[in-house]
Amino acid sequence: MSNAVTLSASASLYQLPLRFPLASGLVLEGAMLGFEEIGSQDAPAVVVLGGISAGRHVASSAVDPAPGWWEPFVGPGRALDTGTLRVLGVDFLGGVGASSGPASTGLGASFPQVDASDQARAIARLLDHLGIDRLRAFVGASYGGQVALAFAAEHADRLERAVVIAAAHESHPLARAWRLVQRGILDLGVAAGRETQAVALARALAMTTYRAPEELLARFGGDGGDLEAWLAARGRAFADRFDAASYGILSRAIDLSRVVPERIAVPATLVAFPGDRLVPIESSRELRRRLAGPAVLHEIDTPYGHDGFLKEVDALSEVLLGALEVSS
Amino acid sequence: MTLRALVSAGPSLTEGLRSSGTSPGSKSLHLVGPGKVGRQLLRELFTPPFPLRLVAVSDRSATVFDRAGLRTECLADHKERGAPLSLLDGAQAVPLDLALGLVRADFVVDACDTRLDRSEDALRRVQAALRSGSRVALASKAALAVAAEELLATGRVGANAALGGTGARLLRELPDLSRSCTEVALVANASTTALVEAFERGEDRAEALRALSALGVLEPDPAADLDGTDLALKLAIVARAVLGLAPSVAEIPREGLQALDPALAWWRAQRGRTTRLVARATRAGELSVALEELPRSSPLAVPSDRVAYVYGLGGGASRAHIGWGIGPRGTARALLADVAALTAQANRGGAS
Repeated sequence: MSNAVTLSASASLYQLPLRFPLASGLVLEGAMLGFEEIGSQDAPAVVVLGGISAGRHVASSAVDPAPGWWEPFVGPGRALDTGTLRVLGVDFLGGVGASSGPASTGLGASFPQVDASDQARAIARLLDHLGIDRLRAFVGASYGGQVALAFAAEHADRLERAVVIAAAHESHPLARAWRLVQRGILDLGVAAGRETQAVALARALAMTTYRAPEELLARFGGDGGDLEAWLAARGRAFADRFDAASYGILSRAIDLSRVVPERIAVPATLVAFPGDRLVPIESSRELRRRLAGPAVLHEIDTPYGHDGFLKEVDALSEVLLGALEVSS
Repeated sequence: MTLRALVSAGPSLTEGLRSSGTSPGSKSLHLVGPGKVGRQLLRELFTPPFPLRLVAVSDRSATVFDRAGLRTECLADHKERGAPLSLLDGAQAVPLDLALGLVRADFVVDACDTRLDRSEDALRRVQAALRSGSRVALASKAALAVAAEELLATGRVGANAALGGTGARLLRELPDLSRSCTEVALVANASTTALVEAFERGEDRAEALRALSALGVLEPDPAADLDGTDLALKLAIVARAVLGLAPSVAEIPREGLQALDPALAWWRAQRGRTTRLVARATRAGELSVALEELPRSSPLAVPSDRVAYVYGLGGGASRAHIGWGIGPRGTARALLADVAALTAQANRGGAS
């Protein structure tokens, strides 16, 4: 019957239609999207989405000076220049931000399962609401990359270019297996009344899949840093924000989300990291081969594996600048 | 009329009104006010899986009662025809306060129309139900407008439906909000929002009023909605509950939709802005209901199928409660959600 969310000064809300049908056939009632806009209202619009832990606050602004999750890439003079672009960040449905999710609706684990195509349709509705007919680009990394692909598949006429980073048209079975184990941890923890510890442990396991072996060896090999403390800290930080239901829904959403590349004719810029164990480089190469529209794949070497989309500022900025230049 | 007499009236009710499949262990419910919302509630009760046993219904004319349970659909049909309960076999014309005390249902749902001039009567009704040991779910705002702080503090009164489906949230978060909230802002009257939406589509006032009346969006007499009184009532409720104020609804300065030029609403919409009737209160005691131009992405810019209660937390942060418990069906469902919340609270060992 209600959504309850805490909003920062920079947050905006959009109310989706009262009954929003999902790809699963279920209906999300009274759903809303939390989002933030930075840059000029009259400038070409770019949607930016990250992984499941990212949200609407992409970068700092005068209204909210706190650094965003993609701060090095978005802002005046940066690759996504807010002096010339209107950048939209959106909270995922099913997550823990200002969009409807298990906690905000009070539905908990009964919150209907969403996938990338649901997120894409919700964002298309948001664009209608904002009077944005067409995006200069939809930039998505990790799960956000799956949403970018879903948007490109379903709303080709509204998009000049999809920029898909560390994501492919479907999840690799090994990545699905890791996430299955993580969700098993969540289920066990909830059943045992130790939800917070379970979320932290599942996230700690996830961290090991985000990074490449060479980075962990450099940081923690031999008498290096304290691996256990690092994992515990990452797990705790995540558990401070996430409940098990949201984590489970978004984790499952990654597994469920798939597109048929041959149906995507929108020009695409793909970025892959050879050391990415969640999205193996071959998946990105296959995606490039199968896309119906023009596509270029940038392979960026990084010791950070899947998390290269957060760390490789110079190389990725160059790709983004090139992608937007091609679009303009 | 005594309890014995009222109870003995049960078996004399027509067979058609008696429930055929009630669980003796289920919680009992007494509906007061089988109007549009009340009738919808009866129909919702007929649909599983609500484990509630309707044992009594009261309107202005009488109370029908059966401890074993009443047939909700028969009662809904009877009231749908505009007939008073007093026409039913076994109906008892006892004062409502007395009926509440005699029935002593686990839950009383008060779905009476909100009449500001009858606030004291409404409050007495709730107090009588509480004295009888019942928990009370309110769609009516009248009692809350004069005593929200007192009623909600009992932990046995729900205001979910009275606040558009957000009242259960408010109750859960009340301890925090009472401490941290510095101001409240409400867009909580669906009729005025629907009218603004019609203006934004380019309709003129007469045309919009005609169309919305035909669709049943407007009440038969929409005056209290359109002049801001309904919104002022809701503002008084949250100002009492959250900010510790004790406003008199009649003294809250307000403007209504008559002050809005349809052409202005249309023009704002063309510029990507919108207009809403907004009620505001600060902890310092400033209260108002006024038309405001808003960005379309404001939490207050809800469409007419939703309401927004935004609690300012200082520093630009806020807690937004967005509800869709409006219209007869939404309000009925909000009432049932309230009953569920009150049950859960009782099971957790809350106020008894």
